[in-house]
Amino acid sequence: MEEFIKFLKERVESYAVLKNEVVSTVVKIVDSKVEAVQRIKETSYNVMIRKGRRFLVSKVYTPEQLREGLGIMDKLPESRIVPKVHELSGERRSVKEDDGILRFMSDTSSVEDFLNSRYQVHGVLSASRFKRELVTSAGFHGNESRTWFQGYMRVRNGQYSGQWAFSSPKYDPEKVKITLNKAEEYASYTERIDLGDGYYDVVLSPMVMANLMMSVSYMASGYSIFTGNSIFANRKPGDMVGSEKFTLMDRPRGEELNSWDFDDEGFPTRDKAIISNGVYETPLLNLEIAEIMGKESTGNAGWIYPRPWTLEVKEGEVSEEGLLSGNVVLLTNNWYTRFQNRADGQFSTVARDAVIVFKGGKPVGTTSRVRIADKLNNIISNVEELSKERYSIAWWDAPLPGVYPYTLIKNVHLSKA
Amino acid sequence: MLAHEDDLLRLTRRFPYSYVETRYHKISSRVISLLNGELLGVYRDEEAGYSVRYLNGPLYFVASRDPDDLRPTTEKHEGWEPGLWDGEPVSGSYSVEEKQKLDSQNLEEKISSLRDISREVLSQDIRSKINNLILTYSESVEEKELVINGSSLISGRVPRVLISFNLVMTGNGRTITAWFELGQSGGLESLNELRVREHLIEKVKSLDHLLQSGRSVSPGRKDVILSSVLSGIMAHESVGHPFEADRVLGREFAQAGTSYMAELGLKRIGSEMVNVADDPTVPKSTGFFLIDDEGVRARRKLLIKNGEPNEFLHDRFTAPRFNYVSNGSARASGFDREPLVRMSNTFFLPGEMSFQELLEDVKEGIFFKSYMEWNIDDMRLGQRYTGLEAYHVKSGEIGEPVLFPILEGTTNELLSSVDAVDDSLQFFPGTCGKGDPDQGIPVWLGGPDMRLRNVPVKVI
Repeated sequence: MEEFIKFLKERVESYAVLKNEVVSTVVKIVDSKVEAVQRIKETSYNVMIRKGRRFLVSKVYTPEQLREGLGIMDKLPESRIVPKVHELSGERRSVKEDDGILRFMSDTSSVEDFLNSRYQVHGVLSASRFKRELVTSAGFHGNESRTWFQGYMRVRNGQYSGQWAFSSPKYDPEKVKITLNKAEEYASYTERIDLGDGYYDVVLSPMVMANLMMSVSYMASGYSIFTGNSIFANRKPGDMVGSEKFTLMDRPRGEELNSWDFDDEGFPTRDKAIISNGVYETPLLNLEIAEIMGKESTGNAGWIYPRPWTLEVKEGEVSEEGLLSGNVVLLTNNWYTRFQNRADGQFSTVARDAVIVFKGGKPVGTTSRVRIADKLNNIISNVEELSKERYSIAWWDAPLPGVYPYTLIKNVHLSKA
Repeated sequence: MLAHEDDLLRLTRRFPYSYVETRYHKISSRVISLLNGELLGVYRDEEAGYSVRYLNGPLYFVASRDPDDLRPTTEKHEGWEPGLWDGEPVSGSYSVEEKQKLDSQNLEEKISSLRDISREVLSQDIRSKINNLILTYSESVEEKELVINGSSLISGRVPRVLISFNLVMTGNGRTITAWFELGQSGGLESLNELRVREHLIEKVKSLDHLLQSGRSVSPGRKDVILSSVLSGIMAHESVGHPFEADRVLGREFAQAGTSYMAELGLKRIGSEMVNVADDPTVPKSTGFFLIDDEGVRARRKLLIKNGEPNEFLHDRFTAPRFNYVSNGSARASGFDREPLVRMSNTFFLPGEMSFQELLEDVKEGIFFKSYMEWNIDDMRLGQRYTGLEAYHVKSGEIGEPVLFPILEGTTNELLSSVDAVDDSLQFFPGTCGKGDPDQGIPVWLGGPDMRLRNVPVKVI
C-alpha cells in the first residue's frame, strides 16, 4: 500500500486505493456429511486515479501496473461521470472481530455437531474475516476489520424440503440450530395440493424478503435511476411508493454483516430509509451521482455505481403465527428473480421448498412449481402487515445481508408451470 | 515446461495425498463502457493465484495469490465422497488464436470504434426515443496451468471478447428496458465477426417497431416457434443443468438445486426431434477448452438423444457413482474456486428443414425471437420465458409484433411438443452460476429455430 501511495502522491491529483483482504473457510455439507472444506484468501488493490474528467479504475499488484495505468489514463477521452474523493482527511480505525469465528476458520471440527437431524441435511457454513483499507488523495486513511459467520441449510424429507439461512457477526451455534429447526419444520409439511394461476394473499418469509429487497435496493442505486433501469426512475423523494406499513432501511452503522464506517470515496456511511412508511426517501448515492442529481452523498460509494450495504425492513405488530391466521399462501423460500422490465418492475421469481397453503389459519397442504409473477411496485404497495419477529438472512441467492420480518402482501399474482 | 511449473510441483510435494490438483489461474480483463456514445469508464482487472485440491475424506481446497500460504489442514471429517475415477490424467496444452491481437489496437482506438457504433445506433430514424444506450466492451484472457498428481502438465489460454448493451426506450406510452450480449473466444476480429453494429441497429429498429405497433396477444394453447436465442437458453436451463451428475447426486441440493433426473427419473424427456449436446471443443466458443481442470480430455457429450437421456456431465468424483468414466466436464471459474461439473457450450442439434418450412405449417402461432425475463424451478422442470421481440404467425407468415407473450410449462411438456427444428445453429454467450462460493463461468447457449405444437401461452 505504501509503495502505491508514494507513487500516486507524486503524479495524480485525485486517487483512492482500496485494499480488500478476505480470508474465508467454507464448509459444504451434503447428505449430512462434510463434502468439501474450502479455505480461500483473496487480496486485491483497487485503484481509482483521476485527472480532470479522465479516470481509470484498475486492480493492481505492482507499482509497474500503476505506472502503466497512468499512461493509459492520460490518453483516455473525458468521461461522462467521474468518481470523486471525499474531502475528509485523517485516520479511522474500526475492528470488530469475533474470536469464535476466527477459531472456526482454522478448525471446523464442530460442524458435525450441527448436523443432528431427522432429515438429510445439505448446506454451507462459512466464516470469513474481511479487512478493508482505504487511502485517498484527500489524506483519508481508514482501516476496518470485520468477521462474518453465515450459513444455510436445506433438508430433504422425501419429495419435500425446507430451507433456512442465518448471518451473524459472531460465532453463534444457536443461530445454526434455529436454521436447522426452521428447515425441518418446513420440510415436515407433506400434503400436496394444487394451486392454479391467480391472485392470492401471500406471506413472504424473511428468506423471500431478502431476495426481493435486494432487487429493490439495487434499483434505489442512483446509477440504476440515472440510466432508467429502476422503478424509482420516474419517482422523486416524497412520493408514495409503498404501503404505509413498509419501511426499508440501508443500515451500515448497525451490527449486521456488511456494516462499515466509510464508503469507497472516504465518505462516512450512515443509516437511512430508502422507503419510510411507504414514502420514497432517498436514492443511494455516491459523490458523483449525487452531484448529477443535485443531492448529497448518502455514503454508498461504489465508484460510479452506488450500492446498498446491509438492509433492514422494519418489524410489524403481529406474530409470525398471526400473519398465517387467514387464507394465505406462505412462500418459505425462492430463487431466480428475473425482470422483464426494470422501469415498471415487472418480474417473476420461483418459489422453492415449502409453499404452504393456509385456510382459516390452518395449513391444508403444500404446492409446487409456483412463481410470483407481478410488479415489484405492487409487492411493496400491497404490504398489509409484518411480523414482530425478524431474522438476519444472507444466503446463496440473497447474498446482500439484511434483517427481515415475515410479510403479508395482498393480491399477489402467482403463476404455475 | 509450464511457466509456473516449479511452484506447482513444490505445492504438489507439500500435499502428500493420493489425488492432488495444483493450479495457477489468471484472468486479465479490460472493460470499456459508453453511455449514449460518451465514455462512462475504463476498468482493468487481474485475478491470479494458486490453488490446491486434494481428497482426504472430504475434498479440501485451498487458494491464495501467494503459493506459500497454501498448507494441508489438520482437521478430520467423515467425507461424502466415496472415492474418484482414477483414470490417468493427460498432459497437453490448448489455446484459442487471436487472429487480430487484442492489444493490436490501443484503448483510444477501441473507444473510438465503440463511439462510432453508439452514435450510428443513436442516430437511427425511428419513432421511439432511446433514453439510454449503455454499450460495454469486455476483453479478457484466461490462462491456466495445472499439475495433476505431480505428473500431468496442462496449460490453456482462451482470449474472449464480449459486447453487451442495455437499452431503455420509450414510445407510444410504453417503456422497454432491454439487455443483450454477444461474444466469442478469439481476438479483435470478433468485433466484425459478431456483426455488433448491424446487430445493434437491427435491435433498435425491432424494439421501435414493438413499441409503436406491438399488440396484445390472447392467452391459450398455440403453436410456437422459438429462435436460437430461446432454444439456447432452454438447452442450458432445462437440459444442461439437470444433466450435471453432481446435481443428480445432490451435491448442489442446497444451492443451485436438484434435477428432474434425480427426483422423477424420467425415461423420455422430449420428442424424437430433441437432441441436445454439450461440446467444449466448438471453435470460437466462450466455453472452449480441450482438457478439463482434472486432466481429462474434453469431448462432445450427447445429453439427450432422440428425446431420451443419453449421458450426464461428469467429473472424476461423480463418474464412479454411475459406473462411468469422467467425460471431462470439470472446470473452475478462477484460481479461488474449486473445479465443479460445468456445462461448456450446450445446444439443441439442428435438423434439415429450412426456417421457411418451419413456418409454413403454422396456421396460428407466435414466433419468440428474444426474451428478457426467464427462470426455472430448482428441479429444472417448471420454466418460464417472457418474450421481448415476439411476432404473430398466421398462415405461415410472420406478422406484427405482439407484446410480451409468456411460454410457461414443464421441461417434458415443452420438449415433447417439439415437432421440428430447422437447419440453422446459432450461439450466444452466457455466464453460468453454480457452487458456493458462487462461480460464474463463460458458456455458449445455442440451437436451431424450433417449433413447438399446441403449448400454453400466457400473458402478463
